[in-house]
Amino acid sequence: MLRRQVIASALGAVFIFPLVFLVLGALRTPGAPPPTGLQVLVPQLTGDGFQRAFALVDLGRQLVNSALVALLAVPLTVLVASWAGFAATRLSARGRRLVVGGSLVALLVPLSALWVPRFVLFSKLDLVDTYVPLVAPALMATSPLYVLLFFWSFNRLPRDLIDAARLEGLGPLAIWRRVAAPLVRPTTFAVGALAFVFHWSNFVDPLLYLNDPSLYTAPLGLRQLRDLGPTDFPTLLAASLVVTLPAAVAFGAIQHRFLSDVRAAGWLGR
Amino acid sequence: MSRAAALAAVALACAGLVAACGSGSDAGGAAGGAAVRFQVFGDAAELAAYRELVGAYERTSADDVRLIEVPDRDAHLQKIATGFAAGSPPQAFLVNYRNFAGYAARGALDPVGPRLQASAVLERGAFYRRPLEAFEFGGELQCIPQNVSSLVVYFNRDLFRKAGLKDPRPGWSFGEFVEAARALTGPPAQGDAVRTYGVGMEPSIVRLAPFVWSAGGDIVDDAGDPGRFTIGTRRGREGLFAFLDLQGGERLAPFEQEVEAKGLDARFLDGELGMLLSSRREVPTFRTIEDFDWDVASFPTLREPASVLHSDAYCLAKGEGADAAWRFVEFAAGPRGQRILARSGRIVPSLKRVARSKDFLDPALPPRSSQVFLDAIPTIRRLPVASTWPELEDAVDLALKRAYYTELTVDETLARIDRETAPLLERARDARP
Repeated sequence: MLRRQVIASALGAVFIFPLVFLVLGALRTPGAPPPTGLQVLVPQLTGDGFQRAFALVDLGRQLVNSALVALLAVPLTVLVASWAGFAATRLSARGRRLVVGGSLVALLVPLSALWVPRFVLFSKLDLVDTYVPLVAPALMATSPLYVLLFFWSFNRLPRDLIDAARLEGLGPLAIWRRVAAPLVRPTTFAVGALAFVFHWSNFVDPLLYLNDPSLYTAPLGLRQLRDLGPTDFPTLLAASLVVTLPAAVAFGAIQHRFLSDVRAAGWLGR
Repeated sequence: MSRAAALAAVALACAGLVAACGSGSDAGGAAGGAAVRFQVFGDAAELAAYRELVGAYERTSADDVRLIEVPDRDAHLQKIATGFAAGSPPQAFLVNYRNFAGYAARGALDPVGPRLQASAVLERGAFYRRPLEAFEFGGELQCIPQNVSSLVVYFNRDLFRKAGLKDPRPGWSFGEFVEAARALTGPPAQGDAVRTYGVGMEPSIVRLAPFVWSAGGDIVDDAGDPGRFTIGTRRGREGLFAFLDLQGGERLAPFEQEVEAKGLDARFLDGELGMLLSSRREVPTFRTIEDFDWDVASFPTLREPASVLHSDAYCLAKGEGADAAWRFVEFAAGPRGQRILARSGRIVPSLKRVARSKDFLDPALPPRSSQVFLDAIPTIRRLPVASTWPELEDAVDLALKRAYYTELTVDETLARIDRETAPLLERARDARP
C-alpha cells in the first residue's frame, strides 16, 4: 500500500512539474529578462501577465467561444459514439469485424488529408465563418477511437443481460439508455474527457474555418501570443494557464466519479 | 422519443443556431461597396498596424475589408493553401517572395503587372526595383511589394564600448566584423551565468546567401531559372567557410543547445549577444529595450558588398473580387498605407518616397541608423524564385544547420544539398510556364 503510494506520488511529481512551471512562469513580470536557469522562487509575483494577455488578445471572448463549441460538441460526441458503439455490438460477428476493421482503417487516415475536402464541403454549404464545421465532426463521434472504446466496453457486457431486456419488451434505444449505458459510465466519462480536450484545444479547424476575429477560439489567441518577444513569456504562460484551467477543473470534477465507478466495476482489482 | 434522442435533437438545433449566429459569408460591403478578405499574419503590434491600415481605407472607400488575422507564418501559409485548394482563398494576402511562386505557377494569382500599368494611384517607377523583380514570374509582375528589407547587423553599443570598439563604419569588412565578434565574446559578466557571444545568426540559406555573394560566389546557377546549387565553387566555399567558422571554428556564436535554451533574440535583448544578424523584423521588439543602446550596421563585406532581399508583397487571388481587392491594395501599397506601416517600425517601405521620409527615418525612434537599410538596397540580391522553393529551403536549411553545429563536414554538406535539391529543382523547372 505504502509502496504504491510512493510510486504514485513520484509519478505525480513528474507530471505536476510542468504545471508548477506554468503557474510560476505566469506570475513573473512581463518584459523582465527571462531567468537564465531553473528558478523555483520567483523574485516578485505579479498578475501583470494575465492583464497583458487579456489586453493583447480578446481572450475572454475566445474562452466563451471555445466553451460554446465544447458545450455543443462534447455531449454530441459522447452520444453518437455511445450509440454507434452499442449498435456495433448488436451486429453479427462478421459485421462487428467489419466495423472494428473499418474504424481502425479510418483512424489511420491523417487528419491533414481531410482538410481540403472538408473545407470544400463547408465552403459550398456557405458555412465557413460559423461554428458548424467545428461541431460537425461530433455528428460522426469526432474520432473512430471513441466509437471503438464504447464498442469494447459494451462488448464486455453479458449478452444474456441484453437479451433478457429485449425479452422484457425494451427497444434498442431503451436497452441502451436503461441497461447498457449505466454500466459503461467510466467509458462515457473517459470519452467525454478525451472529446473535451480535443475540441478545447482544436487549433486547425478554427484556423481554417473562422475568419472573423470575434468568432476565434482560445487556441488561436494562444498561438498569437506565442509570437511575442522572448521577454513576454509570462504573458503567454498566463494565457496558457487561463486556457488550461477549465480542462483541469473539468477533469478534476469528473475524476472522482470516473475512478469510483472504475473501482465499483472492479477494474482496478478491488 | 427517448431523453437521449431529445438531447441529440437539442444539440443539433443548437448547432444550427450557432451557424445562424456566425458571421456567414461576405456577400457585399457597406453601402453598395464590395467585400474584400485580406489575410495577414504578425504579432500584436503588426496586427494593430494592419487594423489601422484597414480602418484608414474604409474611411475613404465604400468597400468593406475583412481583415483575417492569422497567428503566425506557418498557419498563414496553411490557411492560404487550403483556401486555394478549396477554391475560396482570401482575395488579397501578404506573402514573402520566397513563397509566392507556387501559387503563380498554378495560375492562382491575378497578376498585378497590367493593373499597376493602368493605375492612376501607383506608378511602377516609384517603387524600388529589387523587390519588383523578385515578384516577377513568367515575365509578369505577380504581386505588389510592401517592403524591401535586407540582412543587417544589430549591435549592442554598450557592449561595443565596453570592449573598446567603435561603431562599425559604413562598408566595414568581414575581417573587422570577426575582430569585433572576438572582442565581444567572453566569459560571463560578474554575477551572470551566461557567456557573452560576439555574434548570433540562424543557420539558414537566407543568412548564408550574402556570405556567398559577398565572397564572389553564387547560390544557384541561374536565379531566374535555377538548375543546380553552386555553393561548391571556390568562391562559394569561401563564403560558406566564413559563415561556418563563426560557430564551428572560433566559437564566436552560441552552440545549438545554448540557442535551444535561450534564443538569439532573447540573448540580444538581455545584453548577452554583441551582434545579431537579422532583417528589419526585429525592430518593434528591440524598441522595447531600455537597458542599453543599440543600433544597426551594414552586412560586412568579404570581397564585394552584398545583402539578401527580405520582401513581402500584396498578392491578389484570381477570381471574383479581384478588382475590389486591387482597390484596397492600391491604397495599402500606396503612400498613405505604407506610412501607416512604416511608423510601426516593422517594414522598410518599398516606395522610395516613403522610405526616405521621416515616417521611416525618424531619428527619435531606434535604430538611429535606419538609413543602413536604404544604403543596402543597391547591393541587395534575391534568392531564386521557384515553385518548390519552400521545400528546397527546408532541405538546405537542415543540411546547413548540421554543418553549422559541426556535425557535417563542408563536403558532406554540399553533397547532401546537391542530392536533396536536384529533384526539387527539376520539379520547379517543369512547373515553369
